[in-house]
Amino acid sequence: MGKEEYQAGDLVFAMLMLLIVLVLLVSIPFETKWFDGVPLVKQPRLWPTFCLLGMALFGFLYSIQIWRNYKIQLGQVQGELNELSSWLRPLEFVFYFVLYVWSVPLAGYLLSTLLFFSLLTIRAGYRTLLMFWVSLATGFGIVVVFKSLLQVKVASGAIYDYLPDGWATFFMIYF
Amino acid sequence: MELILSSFDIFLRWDVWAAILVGSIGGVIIGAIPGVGPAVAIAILLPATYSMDPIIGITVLLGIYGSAMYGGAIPAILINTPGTPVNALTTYDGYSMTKDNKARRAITLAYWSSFTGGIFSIIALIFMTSLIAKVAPLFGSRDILMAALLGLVLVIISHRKQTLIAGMLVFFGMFISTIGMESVKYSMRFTFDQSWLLSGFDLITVLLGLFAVSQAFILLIGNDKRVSMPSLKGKKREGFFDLMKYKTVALISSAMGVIMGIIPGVGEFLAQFFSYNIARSISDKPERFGKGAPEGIIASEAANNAVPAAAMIPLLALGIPGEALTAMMLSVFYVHNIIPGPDLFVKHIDFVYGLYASLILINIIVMIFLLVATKYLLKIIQIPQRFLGVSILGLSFVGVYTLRNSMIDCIMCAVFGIFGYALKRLNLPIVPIILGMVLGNIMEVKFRASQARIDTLFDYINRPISGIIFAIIVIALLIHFWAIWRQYRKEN
Repeated sequence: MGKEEYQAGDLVFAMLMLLIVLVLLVSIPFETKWFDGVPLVKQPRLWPTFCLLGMALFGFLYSIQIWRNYKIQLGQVQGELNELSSWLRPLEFVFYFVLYVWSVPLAGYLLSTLLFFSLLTIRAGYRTLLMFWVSLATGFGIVVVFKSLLQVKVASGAIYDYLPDGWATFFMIYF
Repeated sequence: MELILSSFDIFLRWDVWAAILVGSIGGVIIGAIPGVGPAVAIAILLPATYSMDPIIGITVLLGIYGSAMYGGAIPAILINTPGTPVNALTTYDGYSMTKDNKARRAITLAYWSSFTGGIFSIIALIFMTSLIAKVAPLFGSRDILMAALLGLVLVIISHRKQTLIAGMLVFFGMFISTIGMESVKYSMRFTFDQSWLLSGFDLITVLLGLFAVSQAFILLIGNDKRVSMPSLKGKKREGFFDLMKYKTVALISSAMGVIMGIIPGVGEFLAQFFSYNIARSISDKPERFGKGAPEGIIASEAANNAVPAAAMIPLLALGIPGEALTAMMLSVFYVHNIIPGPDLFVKHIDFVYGLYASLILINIIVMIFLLVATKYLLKIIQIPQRFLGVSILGLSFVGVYTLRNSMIDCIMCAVFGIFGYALKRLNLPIVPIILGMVLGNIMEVKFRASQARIDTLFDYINRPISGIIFAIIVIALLIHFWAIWRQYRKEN
């Protein structure tokens, strides 16, 4: 439950958060309004300022705690930077995810999902035919459960306009 | 009596039964897969439940919430990997019993302990209803403000050795909830002239990013672990006999789960931690704990399964979620215009009784399912981790895209996913952000609403309820600082 030891990345995380808080604190006069004649407790500016000050206070104390308790040495700076770069590793998957979202209104939920599941499964290192079929079945199952049965609101694909009328309506409603 | 009977009418509907079955069995399966957990599943399913009848939507989510910990005990006992984070203590004695060829005994003991904790807490909830119905309407704005503050203080100090970062993340969550157009003067706050920020950050977007998408990244970037599954030897009834032998431990642990569940911001971790320590202190053979003591499994499982029903008490009575999962459920209530809080017990008491009955049925169905289907669940534990990551990422799309069919929402969800990924890598807590977001919003609204009766700061605590809650906050802080001081003295 608790965190007992220093971990590479703790300090850089605290510093980044503090930097964000500082930028936000400086933006308070520009990003919130002050209404003349309105008491302080009813000012829209009060609550975000309170939150940011709380964040700054805890963030500052946290940074000091890391600095003092774990005795950061210069040799550990590289470890901090390595950890920082590792936080960017998911960007590749973010790209696939955004591509998937972009493709749904064009290719339709079913086709996009089948492509997303099969290609990402291959990217994840599963190159067997069995896993390929499993990925397709999983993608198809998700579409059937959410779109066909639960009727969640997912934009229908532009590609369905090219289908014959009856099929187009069917695919727009269920897939 | 009529109300109770009318609430049971709900169970003549097939869709309610389907919801109970899907929620409870789905929850067990989700709990049994290490790396998924109920938070991920509920975050993904949340938007899908918006189009459902309120009792159906809540029942599905409650089913997952209440049954995931049953399933989480299976990998905790068999492969020393907790299915959900709150099954971690079960590994201590459960896995030791597996190594001693007592796997089946340990598993059935975990099931019966979970069942005891679950049913005990529902009975406690039912008996407390009349009290809650009397007390809840007495809560005014200042009292709810203080209760929300208590929740935030407790969520911060319950993160031992991470108090400062938990505090920072709570305030971060509170800040996020202020972004967008505020509802009094209709002015913009921290929108940076971006139209997509006018309505602020949707709770679902943040939840999905922090819990589901970040978990997908963790799984996709990590390596698959080869799992060798031990065979289940022994008789099923041995677990039940163990429970009967240590029934005092089961009752004390269940009561501890109920108490901890009611207190906002505390939850399963502290419940099982205290129960485990109590069980060890009253045991004839405390040296066995951690080496295969049946009381250890009972303490852990009974306590953590007693929490979900108890955590519904502050949610239903005051509209204050005690932890992340009930915070998610709060949004389902709001979507269906059922506002949890003092009025719920006056206007929708049949709905409340319906929930209680659902909870009982969920526990019974899960127990039957587990006694019959455990051997099949062992296959599910072996699903490759990276493929789980693919599936969670695909499912997250459904969760976030169905909100508004918005690309921006999906990108924001992915950004929060990266943030959650960094937090998880650093072993930093995520729950304070969610509770800060939900409770911070409640606090701002109640803070403004209470201004009409406030002349001095003392007016916030001069009501009996707010005064008592404030006293609890002060006592909790004093205990926390005293514990820090003691530890400091010990180390120096």
